[in-house]
Amino acid sequence: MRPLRIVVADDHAVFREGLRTLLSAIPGYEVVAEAGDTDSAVAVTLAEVPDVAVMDLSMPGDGGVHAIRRIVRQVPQVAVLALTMHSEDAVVRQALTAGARGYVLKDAAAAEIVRAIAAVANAQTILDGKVAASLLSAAVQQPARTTCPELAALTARELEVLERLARGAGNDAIAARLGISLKTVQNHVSNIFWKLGVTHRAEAVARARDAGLGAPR
Amino acid sequence: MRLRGRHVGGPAALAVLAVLAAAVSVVCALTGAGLTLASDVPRTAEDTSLLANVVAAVVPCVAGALLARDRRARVLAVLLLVSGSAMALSLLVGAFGEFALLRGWDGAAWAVWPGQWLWVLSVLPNVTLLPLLFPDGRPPSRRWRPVLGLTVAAVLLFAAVAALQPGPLDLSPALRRHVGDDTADAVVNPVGVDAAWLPLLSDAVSAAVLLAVVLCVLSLPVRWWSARGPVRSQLLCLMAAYAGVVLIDQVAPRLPAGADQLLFALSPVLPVAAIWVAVRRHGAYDLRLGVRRTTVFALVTGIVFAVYATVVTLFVGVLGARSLEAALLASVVVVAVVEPARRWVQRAVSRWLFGDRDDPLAALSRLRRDLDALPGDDDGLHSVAAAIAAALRAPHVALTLPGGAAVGVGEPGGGFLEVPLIHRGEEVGTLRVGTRGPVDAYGRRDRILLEELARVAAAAAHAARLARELARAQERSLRVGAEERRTLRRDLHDGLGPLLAGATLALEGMRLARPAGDPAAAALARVGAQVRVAGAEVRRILDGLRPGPVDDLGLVEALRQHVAACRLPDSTPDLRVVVDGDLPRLPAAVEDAAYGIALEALTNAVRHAGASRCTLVLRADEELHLEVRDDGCGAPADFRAGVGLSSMRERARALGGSLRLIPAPGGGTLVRVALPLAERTADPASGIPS
Repeated sequence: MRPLRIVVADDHAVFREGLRTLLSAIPGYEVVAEAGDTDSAVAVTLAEVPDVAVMDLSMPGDGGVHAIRRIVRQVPQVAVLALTMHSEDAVVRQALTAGARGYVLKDAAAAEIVRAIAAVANAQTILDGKVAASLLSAAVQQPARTTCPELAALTARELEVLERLARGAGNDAIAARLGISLKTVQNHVSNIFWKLGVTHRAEAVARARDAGLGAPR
Repeated sequence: MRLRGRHVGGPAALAVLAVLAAAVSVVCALTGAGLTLASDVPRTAEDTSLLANVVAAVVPCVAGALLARDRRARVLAVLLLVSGSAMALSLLVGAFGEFALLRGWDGAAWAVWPGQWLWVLSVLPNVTLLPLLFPDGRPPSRRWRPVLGLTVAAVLLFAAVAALQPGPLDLSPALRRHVGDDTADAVVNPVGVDAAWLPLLSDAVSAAVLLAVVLCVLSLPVRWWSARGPVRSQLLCLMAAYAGVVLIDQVAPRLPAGADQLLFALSPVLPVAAIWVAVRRHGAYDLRLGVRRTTVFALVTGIVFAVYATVVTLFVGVLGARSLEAALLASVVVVAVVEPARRWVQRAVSRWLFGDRDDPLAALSRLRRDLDALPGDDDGLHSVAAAIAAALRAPHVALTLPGGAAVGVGEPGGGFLEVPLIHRGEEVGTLRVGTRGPVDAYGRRDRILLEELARVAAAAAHAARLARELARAQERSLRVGAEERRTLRRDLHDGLGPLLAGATLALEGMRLARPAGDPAAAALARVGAQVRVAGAEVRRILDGLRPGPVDDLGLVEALRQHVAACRLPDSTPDLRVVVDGDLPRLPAAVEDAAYGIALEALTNAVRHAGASRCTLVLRADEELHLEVRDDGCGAPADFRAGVGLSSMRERARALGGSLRLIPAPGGGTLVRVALPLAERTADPASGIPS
């Protein structure tokens, strides 16, 4: 059987060395190329078109997530395994969204890492045990309640502030325009967020535009 | 320690005129009183209203002369001078008229006549114009202008009608008894007008005067009702004085003869004292001070009169001198005596009422007691300033530390004394003490006490500076420490972690490459296990250094992730993290504090408040603002800060920030936190209340 062809991208030479030593000791695995930064990781992967690309996420250059995205777009047949020190949900999600098929932490046992490489090569998806639990609970939770109260809940002053906000004015500009203190504007903005139940300024702006506020005249 | 002093203001033409008028009036009054005392008319205690009249002449004159120096008090000063001078003239011409009448001089009626109407000018302004124009010399508002016109016209017309009243002139009961009714009735008004319209005019003018008195006196409570600030207390002060006058009118007649006269003599003093207090102690006066002034005035007047009466009696009765000479001589003696007497009495009364000024030890020990009783987070400077103001009765005291921070009590303005605060040979700040005004300037004892107090203030200022420096140093070490931990964590996380992981893999690879049963394989397995333990150890250290999510994801993402992790199916509230605008790169200490506080506040909202929604807003200017708002049950009214809240507050304070817990509009709780991004560079100026 043809051995699995593997590219290892990591900015730590010691780690690359360790992984290569490990894989060379196991029959059926072959490290065909290594890379120490984002650009060369993409380059060698495109050149070699390996079965598996083992990708660190924090590398000099645009970073691993970026590299994953480019690789998946250009050579989708390459299975990408993210191998990193980061265990936070958001990072995991970014990597998976970019197209990684597996996500394993660097301090996992050697056998787990080898198993993960084999799994992604087999078109399976694999997650490190430490990250899987929280990611799953996030996946099964209900989406945040989409409370969508009307703008009618806002006071006249808050509507005034929202309108200027929708026109792209900053808090200090609004304060100057309405002749009130910056603190007062900030309080109004907080109230608007609270009443509209939005999670970002941009969302409040979008809501205001939907309602016809702040339209260019 | 040297005292640097500076006074403001200077005498103007009006002030000089006022002093002259007052001096002339006082001499007139005393001479008149002397002549009366020395005359041959026998008097009983009942008809001796002399003391009250002398007081009513002298006290307003002296007060008017002194107040005329003050721009704010000119109108009132003129009123007082008019009232006092009229009384003084009335005393002089009364005595002279009596003198002339007894000697059967032609035209004696002309001498008696001014007494017929002068009293009007002395008495009526006190109950009309004075309350109306108090405290700033202007009618209260435009609407009161007609009242002012009416009052002036009524008073002048009343005096004129009194001057033109035909028939016998009023003589004192004692004189009338002495000369007999026939002679007395023969003294008729030389300018009397026997016309039918005069009684009509007299009735009309009397009614107008009555109306003016009612309106002017009523203006006090009416204005008091709507007044705010110092004016309110000033009006109250004058009302209290008038109430005192009414009380004296009721009480005095029930007292034995002599005592009633002493009490009557107090009644012209009361309104003058109220005006004095209101004008001289603008903003910083109180009724106690009024009591002191009144007491001093009354006692000094009493002493002056006693000295005068004694001298006159001595000369006339014992040495047989002529009464006019005796009166003049007595006046001279009084003028020599009055100032030392005032000083002595004032000190005695001060000691009696306040005690401090002349008892530095008491003032110092009270100040130390105050300082001991302070809560921990108060540096005591405010207490020191307040204690100094109280001990010296200073209208304003300010302590200034190097770097501009200042603590003050009272209203600045006017002159002040400035004392450098020296602690162990080092200047640690300045102490400013507002002067009390020319009448009540600081004396030698005041300055000695001030020096003693300044020593305590210097120690307190020194301690306060150390405390502030300590707080700043703590904040700096907190910020620097957090920044160092951030760097250290990055280094460990990005450097040592992968290195150990790589070594583990390499060792495992080498072990696998050995044939089974090779002792080296067992050794490699052992070393590999140890390196993995080291890796786990590094991760444990990392987690202890900083909250990992904040470091890896930044504050906002870390909070979002926390919120997402809190959200379980069904039961939990709707949690949101909102960012208002862009956040700059935040200092590690600020991120850590904000993250810790936010987590605690979210926990409170979810666990204790039973909220169904909770929104967390982040926003930055020079400070990072964090608002956590929920729609829960809110903090109960008797809420006491628990460990959670006080540790949140503690974290905010350590960075020079603040945390406030306020009820959210529409129920629920709003926690508002502000954390300065940059380290405090200067003292937060606590400022002087303006």
